[in-house]
Amino acid sequence: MSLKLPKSRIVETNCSLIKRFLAFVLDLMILDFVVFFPMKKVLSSLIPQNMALSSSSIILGNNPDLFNKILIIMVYLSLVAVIYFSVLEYKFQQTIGKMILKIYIKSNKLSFWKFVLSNLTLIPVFPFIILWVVDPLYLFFKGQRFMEQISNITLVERVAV
Amino acid sequence: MKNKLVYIIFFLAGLWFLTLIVSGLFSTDVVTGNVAIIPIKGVILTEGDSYLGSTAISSDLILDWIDKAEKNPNIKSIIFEINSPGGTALAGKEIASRIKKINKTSIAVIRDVGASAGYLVASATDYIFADELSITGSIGAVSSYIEFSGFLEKYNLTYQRLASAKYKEMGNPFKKLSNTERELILKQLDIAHAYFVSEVSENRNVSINLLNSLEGSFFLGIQAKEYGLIDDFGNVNSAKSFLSTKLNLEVEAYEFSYKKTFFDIISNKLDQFSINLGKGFAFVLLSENQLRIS
Repeated sequence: MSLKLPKSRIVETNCSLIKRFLAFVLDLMILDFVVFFPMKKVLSSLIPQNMALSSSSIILGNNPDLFNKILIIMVYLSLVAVIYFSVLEYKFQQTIGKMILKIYIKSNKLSFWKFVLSNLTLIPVFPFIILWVVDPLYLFFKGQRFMEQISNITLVERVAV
Repeated sequence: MKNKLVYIIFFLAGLWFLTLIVSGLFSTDVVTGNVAIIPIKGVILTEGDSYLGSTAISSDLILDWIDKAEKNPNIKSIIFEINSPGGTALAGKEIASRIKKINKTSIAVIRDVGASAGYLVASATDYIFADELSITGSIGAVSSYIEFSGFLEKYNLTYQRLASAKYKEMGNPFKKLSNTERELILKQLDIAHAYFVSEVSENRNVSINLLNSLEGSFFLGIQAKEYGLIDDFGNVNSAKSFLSTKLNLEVEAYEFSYKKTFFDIISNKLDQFSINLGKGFAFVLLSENQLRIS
């Protein structure tokens, strides 16, 4: 006897915070282990090690050259991260982390600059650094990042109902 | 799916390669580890890397390395590995003065020889290691040169002296040095000697009288220790062990090295060639006069 149950429907819903967070962590791990690897030796030699944070900040304050060098490297790495997220999201609407977690980006009109705009949060200099606070708060209360809202994109997952 | 995978792999490889290139731009300044080793090998000059065919090192380069090591917060100490017979007074003074301003532990390790300006540099550090058989000391100044006036005369060559002042050509090897000129040069050397002695006396806490009594002589490490010119016997490894105990750290040394460019190599070869050519001429001329050179 076969039951004539209605076929399951696949619907798109806003993805859960946990999946979004895990996908982001996976992407950062890929960037850290693969893409940023050549820069690690350079950074570790510049950043004070085995030192209290206060001592490190004093050293960096007294060495503007060193501070500027570290800042340039940080900005470079953040730009690489922006390129990683923007290119993959534009090309496949997914990054590697999102592919693993099976979530993807939905947008009415695909434009590369739209994705760049949504990923500007990754740049660790003013004024973008403000987004480090605004984006998570917006995500917590509205279920979508502020920059996603601005760029008119949504992160979704498919669920069967 | 396969195309997607290939695209992602190439994309990641591209980003990795880009980062590798960018890291290369910064790595020229990178000093790793917690102890920097600065080699001071050859004649110490203010500029250049060769002196009459011998290896030389410039004080400009040493000062640049000191700056890099000092600015790096991970570097806790600097070891100066010295193998130098000396150099110009100014070059030695420049390095010694800079070492005295370092706010990290500085150590000198004298290898075969650390004499004259090489010793002045060593004396400015906090602690000096040398081997029992290392040559050191030679505290004093020289300005000796070969005079060719007799040679010109012998071959009937005339040196036309055209100078606006009486002592303007003092020390010119093509003219005979007068007694007054000799006195004047020796006076300058006395001043340089007094400066050298007072610097070493201050740096090493050794009396000026003792240093003057040494009469500019060089010593083996064994004697140098007796006179207080060095602190201990040892090599670079001894210096590392010393630092490990004193600063309570596991020493990871970074050694600075002079990377020769293609131009430097060509320049050195030409320099060597000129010296050999000069030696050849001298040999022929001396042979004509049935003289032997050893």
